[in-house]
Amino acid sequence: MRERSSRHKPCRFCEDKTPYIDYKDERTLRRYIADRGKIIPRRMSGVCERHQRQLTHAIKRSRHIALLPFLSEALK
Amino acid sequence: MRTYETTIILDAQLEEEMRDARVERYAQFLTDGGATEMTIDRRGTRRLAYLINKRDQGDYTFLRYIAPEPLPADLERETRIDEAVLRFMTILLHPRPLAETERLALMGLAPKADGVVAPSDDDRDDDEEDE
Repeated sequence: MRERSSRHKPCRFCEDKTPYIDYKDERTLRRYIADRGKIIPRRMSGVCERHQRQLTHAIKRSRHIALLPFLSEALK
Repeated sequence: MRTYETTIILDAQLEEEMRDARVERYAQFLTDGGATEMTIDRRGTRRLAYLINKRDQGDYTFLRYIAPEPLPADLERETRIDEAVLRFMTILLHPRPLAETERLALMGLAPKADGVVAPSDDDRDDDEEDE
């Protein structure tokens, strides 16, 4: 059986010691949404559980104030 | 008293003076209601990610303030009936009264110093007060 790699890339927000994921920071948040506009799961983005929760919250707020799309323009 | 942040998106088709007057009016409303330490962050006109009321441009303003608890609800009642406001959202920046340094850092008024800024994540359970 192949052994699972133990190399684990630490969460970017943990590395930066981000105190608060800002819903107004559209540029950062855009990195965590797919082309469709969906939130990228943490198994793909490598964000830790705590920060993924904060990130999700921020993205949803950002969508509400139309900084981010619910659905990307191309798919409408 | 709690720290709130209200986002107001105004219709960008209105004249600039009218938009400024609106922001001024809402700031005054908050001050009259007992809000303190207000910062008004005008970000200006930008494209909306999707159409709201058939508009594709909005004028963004962020108001950060410390206010007694019923005040944001009163403000939202005002903004809801205002046709110039495309969208509004009020969030609780922090649920417990903050230490002075924490609060300033959170409001972007002071440079971040080590060990001062971050309120612990367990406390940061903001709730949203919105439609």
